[in-house]
Amino acid sequence: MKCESVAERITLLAAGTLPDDQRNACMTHIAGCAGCADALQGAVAMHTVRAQAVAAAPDGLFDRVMRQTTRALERRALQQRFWLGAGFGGALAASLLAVAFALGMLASPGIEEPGIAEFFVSTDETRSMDIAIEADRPLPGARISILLSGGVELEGFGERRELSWSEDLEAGLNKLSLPLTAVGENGGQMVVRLSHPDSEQLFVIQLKIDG
Amino acid sequence: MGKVAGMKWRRSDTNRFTALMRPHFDALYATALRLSLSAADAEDLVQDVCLKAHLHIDELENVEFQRAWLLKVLYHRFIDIQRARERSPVDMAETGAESSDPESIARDGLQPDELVEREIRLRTLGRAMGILNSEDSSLLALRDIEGFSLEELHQLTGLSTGTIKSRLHRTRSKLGRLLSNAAIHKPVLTVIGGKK
Repeated sequence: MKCESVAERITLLAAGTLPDDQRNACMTHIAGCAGCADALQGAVAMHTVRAQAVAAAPDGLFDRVMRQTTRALERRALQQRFWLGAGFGGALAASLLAVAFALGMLASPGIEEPGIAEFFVSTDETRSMDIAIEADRPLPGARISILLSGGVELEGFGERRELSWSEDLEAGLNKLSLPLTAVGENGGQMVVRLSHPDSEQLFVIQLKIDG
Repeated sequence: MGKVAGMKWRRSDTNRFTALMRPHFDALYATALRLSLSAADAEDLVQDVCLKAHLHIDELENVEFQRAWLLKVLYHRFIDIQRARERSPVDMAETGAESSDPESIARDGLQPDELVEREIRLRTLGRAMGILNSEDSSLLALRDIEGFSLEELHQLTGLSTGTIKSRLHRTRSKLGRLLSNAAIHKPVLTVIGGKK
């Protein structure tokens, strides 16, 4: 028997379920082959893990883990919003930027001061800018408007400068990906406006040329 | 918002993610428990996997073998934890934090001394997996622990089945050599029943 033949049977050999004749042939080879002897030891160790019976996941664990995951992601989104608000946008010269909005969380209706962020676009490639809209409850019929100026285009829209539509936002994070390409050397600006009967929010994103 | 061509809109990911994870959760937890030997560590491990999966939800939705993808993430994370523990100046065994949870791990008819021996063997295996290349180590685990077929591993990794076979055999040999090597057999004080 060759090493390849032993390799094909080694998990069954480790589990003790290989027929006797094949087992004997394998063991004869292994007695004279250090590599296969090591492999058998490795296979036996893996079998020990596989054979170990474990308890089922406790009741409620799935829901708890899902909740914790959502909370961890929300913390990340809030952290990103803080970085942007603190003016660290320039350091985030990556192809992806998340901008978090909070809708339906304002104490009183009205327009908040616009937040400002930076995103780096390129003439060489389309880059996806992710906008995360964070809602503390379902927001049916939220109005989303995008105004674009300067030498930047939204992929698929050519020179169109304004887009506006209504959307039913769900509670939690709602994400919008905007594929952007620079068409000149001066960059541009994007204004995103979110409005709902309860609140309205503006966000200005400076679109800078990478490099 | 699909009405606006060229833009990709995704609804709140929570429901989508929950539906995606539910069918695989028990299998992930079982593997996490087999590897970590403690319910608390297993929960932390699956939590880490869920976070990573959520951040790559689009990729996960589009892979053919989602469970294999998730388990691969879990093994990588387990290996990272093993490596961090190796670097840590604190010997977890001495703290009692690295001890099995008898309510979660079946005794399989073993006597207490046999249970201790099995736990030491499993801990040593964990350390050995931390020394091996992560990709090789997780490939071997997916085959030998999870029982994925060569064809499934081919779909997951893009490697030819011939390459997978030879890599598996080589990794088993390395693992066996490591397990024979006294250097990774740290003296371990094992406390059966200790809780984190």
